[in-house]
Amino acid sequence: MAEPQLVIERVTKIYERGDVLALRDVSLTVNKGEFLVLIGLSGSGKSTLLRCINRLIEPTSGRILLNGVDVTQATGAELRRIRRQIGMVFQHFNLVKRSSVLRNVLAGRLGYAPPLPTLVGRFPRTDLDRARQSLETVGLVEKMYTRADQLSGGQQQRVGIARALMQEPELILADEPVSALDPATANSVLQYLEEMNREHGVTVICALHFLSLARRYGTRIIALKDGAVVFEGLPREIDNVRFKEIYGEDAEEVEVR
Amino acid sequence: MSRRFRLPKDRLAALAADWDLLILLSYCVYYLVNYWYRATHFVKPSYQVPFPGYAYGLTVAATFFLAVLWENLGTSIGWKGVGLVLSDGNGHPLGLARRVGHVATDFVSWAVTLLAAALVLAPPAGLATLFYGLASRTGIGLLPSAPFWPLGPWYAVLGQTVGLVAALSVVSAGCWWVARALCRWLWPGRKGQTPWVDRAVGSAVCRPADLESLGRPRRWWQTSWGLMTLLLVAVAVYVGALTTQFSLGTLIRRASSTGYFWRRLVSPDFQYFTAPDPDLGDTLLNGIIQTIFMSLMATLLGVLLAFPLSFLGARNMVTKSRWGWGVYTLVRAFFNVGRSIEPFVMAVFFGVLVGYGAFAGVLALFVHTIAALGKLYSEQIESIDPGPVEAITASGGSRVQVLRFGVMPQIIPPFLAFTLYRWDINVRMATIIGIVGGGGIGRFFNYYKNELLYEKVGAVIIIITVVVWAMDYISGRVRERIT
Repeated sequence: MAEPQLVIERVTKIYERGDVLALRDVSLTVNKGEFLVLIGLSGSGKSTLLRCINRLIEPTSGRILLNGVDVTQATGAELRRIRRQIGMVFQHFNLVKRSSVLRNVLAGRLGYAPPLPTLVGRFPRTDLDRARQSLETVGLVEKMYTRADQLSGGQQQRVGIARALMQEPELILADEPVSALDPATANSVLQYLEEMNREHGVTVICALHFLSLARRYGTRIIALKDGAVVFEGLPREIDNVRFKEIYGEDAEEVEVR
Repeated sequence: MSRRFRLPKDRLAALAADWDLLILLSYCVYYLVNYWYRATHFVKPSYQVPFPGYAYGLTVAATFFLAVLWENLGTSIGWKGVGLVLSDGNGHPLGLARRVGHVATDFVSWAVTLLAAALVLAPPAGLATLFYGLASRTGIGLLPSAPFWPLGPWYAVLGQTVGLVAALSVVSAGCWWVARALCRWLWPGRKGQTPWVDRAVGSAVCRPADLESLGRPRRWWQTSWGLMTLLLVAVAVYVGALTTQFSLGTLIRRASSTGYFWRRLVSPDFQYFTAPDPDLGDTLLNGIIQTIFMSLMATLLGVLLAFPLSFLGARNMVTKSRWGWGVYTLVRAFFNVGRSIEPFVMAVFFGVLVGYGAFAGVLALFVHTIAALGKLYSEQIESIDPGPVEAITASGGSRVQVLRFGVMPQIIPPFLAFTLYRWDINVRMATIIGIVGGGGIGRFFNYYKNELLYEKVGAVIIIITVVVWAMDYISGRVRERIT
């Protein structure tokens, strides 16, 4: 087996404000082509862990290696070069609502495009073609010039995925990408991520709330509780006992199809 | 935790507020005493009831003392405003009886502290008196014979006063510390309790949200903050009416004898609308056009500076380092100070600087516009959706790109709306800034008013009203379309 794509070594995060221990000594490795699902209650550290990987949040201690390069030591241009390899999909889509779909998608290309022309809003021809392609992938080409806030939630999230695709990522971090969507839309959005994963070999790390979705899409599941890893294994290994361990005694499993 | 003074910033803010209110109230009381004395005694209108220098110090000290006692009731205006409550330490509000006990305990504690300080200071003071007394009587001693206090010229008196106050403070603090240690030993504290009165009464300071039950809600007139507010408002209205010489009688009496003024005002004279006024050398039309251009120049120039400054004045745009904080504070301070200096005042300064006229008016409006727009802009920047900023950072965008693609699209439409609004206000101000020498139509207004040419004043008022109304209407409609 080749060297793992992502190695997280003993990462701890303490939020100074309020003395919150968000991650305690989290270590894990992710291989290329995995669809890793993070589960856990709200506040268990899923978002913090994902954001530590691309340094939207500074880990307090520990190391994160992407293809053998230490992410935690990178600064300036090097950090941006690392970030552009990592696509990110957000719970609330994080689109600029007033801008067109095309502008939002092009924003994903900022890490590659020549900096000065982009400041006046000019992107290379190839990037425009690429934007069209990624919008085709998520089936939204005809909405190209629509304002982002005119789209439905599912469509907005697909724009978010198209934006991540612009980065030609080798890793996609998805932070509860379907929590704000209804179940049917949730499945269709996750299918796009699955397609990326299966057909283009993009590694996906995805935080999810519903165990049924985690079982269906994940190749491996990691459960966090109070900032620590409490379970790591295959989807089918999560039985009722494990479930109660992760979500607490009072939890009931909810089925989402 | 139990050893720390809980919520220090808020409690100091509350104390400052309460103290201020009491000082305000005591000023009102002095004003009223003065007023009543003059109304009932035959004295000169300029007569002031004597208020000696030491009375200032006494008032400040007394109001502070009262504020501290009021705070101990737990229902002062400051506490209410900052959001503090006095609980019994178990998540319930303190009952009225125990609140009063709280105040009484604090009173006793202050008295004990001061008494202890006096006792500690008494022997040396007595010895000193004795020494000076002997020295002055016998002529033997280290110091020349003199009355005990005050001694010597003003700087010596100042030094002695400072020394006395310092000694009293140091000894009081010492006594307070000893008493606090005693209290700690007597009543071991619970979490959230401050040493001193809270320990004795068993109360704790907390937030309303920390309470498990809020208890029976009191109506505002059942609380000390409510009654105090009522008193303050009543006194303020009364004193306000006296200081502003408010009188309905004058209004009615004078109104009936000014008919000629109104008659002339409502028959406006537009003679100089297009023909130049020989005295002022210009037409009214040119005046109002100059006014509109003054406001336009001030707004456009103001935007040029306010736009970049507003980013430095937005908390989410500056870095979280000490430098970032410093720049943010400086810019914010400039915005706040700049807005609080009226353009009319600045027009006078700039009039001296560049000569009275339209340019001085433009500069005055310009400075005010930077501050006012900068404040509005930076608040808009602070309230943007952080999502896109995060997304563009995550995709590898540089800081400049984050600004260009994450921030700018969100703020440009509201910025346009604010700018139009500001232009609207500037037109309004530019119409009258001529009164203090700022040029434009206000110059005509001022001249005609002073020459008692009320028909022409009427014409100026009509022109101003039409232009201001039109600007207001247009900018309102455009702003509706933008946001």
